[in-house]
Amino acid sequence: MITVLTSQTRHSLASVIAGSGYSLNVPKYLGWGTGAGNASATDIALFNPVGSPVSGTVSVITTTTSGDTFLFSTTVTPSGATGITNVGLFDSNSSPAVGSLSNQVNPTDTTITVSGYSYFPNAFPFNIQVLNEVMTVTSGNGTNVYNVIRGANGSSIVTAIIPSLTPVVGPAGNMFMKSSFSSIGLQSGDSIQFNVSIQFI
Amino acid sequence: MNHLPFEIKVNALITRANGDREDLGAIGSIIIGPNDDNSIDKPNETQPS
Repeated sequence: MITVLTSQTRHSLASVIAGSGYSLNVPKYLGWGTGAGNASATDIALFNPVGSPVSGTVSVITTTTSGDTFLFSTTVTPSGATGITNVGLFDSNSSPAVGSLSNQVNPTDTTITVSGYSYFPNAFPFNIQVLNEVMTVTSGNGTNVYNVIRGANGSSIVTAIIPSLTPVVGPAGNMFMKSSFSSIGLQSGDSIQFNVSIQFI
Repeated sequence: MNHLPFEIKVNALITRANGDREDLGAIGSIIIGPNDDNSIDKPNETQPS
């Protein structure tokens, strides 16, 4: 299991402390996904996210000293049997665009072909995530071919060949934190409550 | 001194369709260090029943 504050959150918190007029949107939505992978601070999306992030309650509670802990809580009820492998907190409940690679991608490639491209933004640039690598889409052919800058947002370029059909996830709000863990098996009719706490110590 | 500034916990509680409840405890619990390589994974505090 790996849990991280994203690099964007780290920057946001540092900016708030510095009093630079930066405000942080409340991360009050929990997204969940079923893809494999280890969460990284440079991630901008979940591994194979499912549906829209679910609204939850946000509060400040006391763990050790007065009001030292942020607490988020929500309950997810999947539509059928599934295995949840990762969750994240977002400041928006908009659904991320999810497509897949039509062809394999080599480490030096700067052009990718995506199925499900109609779900992605029409305006450039925007970021996408493939495995743990973030890519900036700078242009395209108007349909399914994107020109990308590899290794964006401080992520590492995937050094192996990325196979076709690998999920491509587009932006949907800001991801505050992300946690990846062993798959949690749920059957139809099951629900699961997630409590995410951040205690300052 | 090796005091880190905050701790994140992700706890999960399953309610099965038949009403049975399974407390998974801390499925994701970590203290963030200067970079991810210094992150410390913790074992589950409570195992699934």
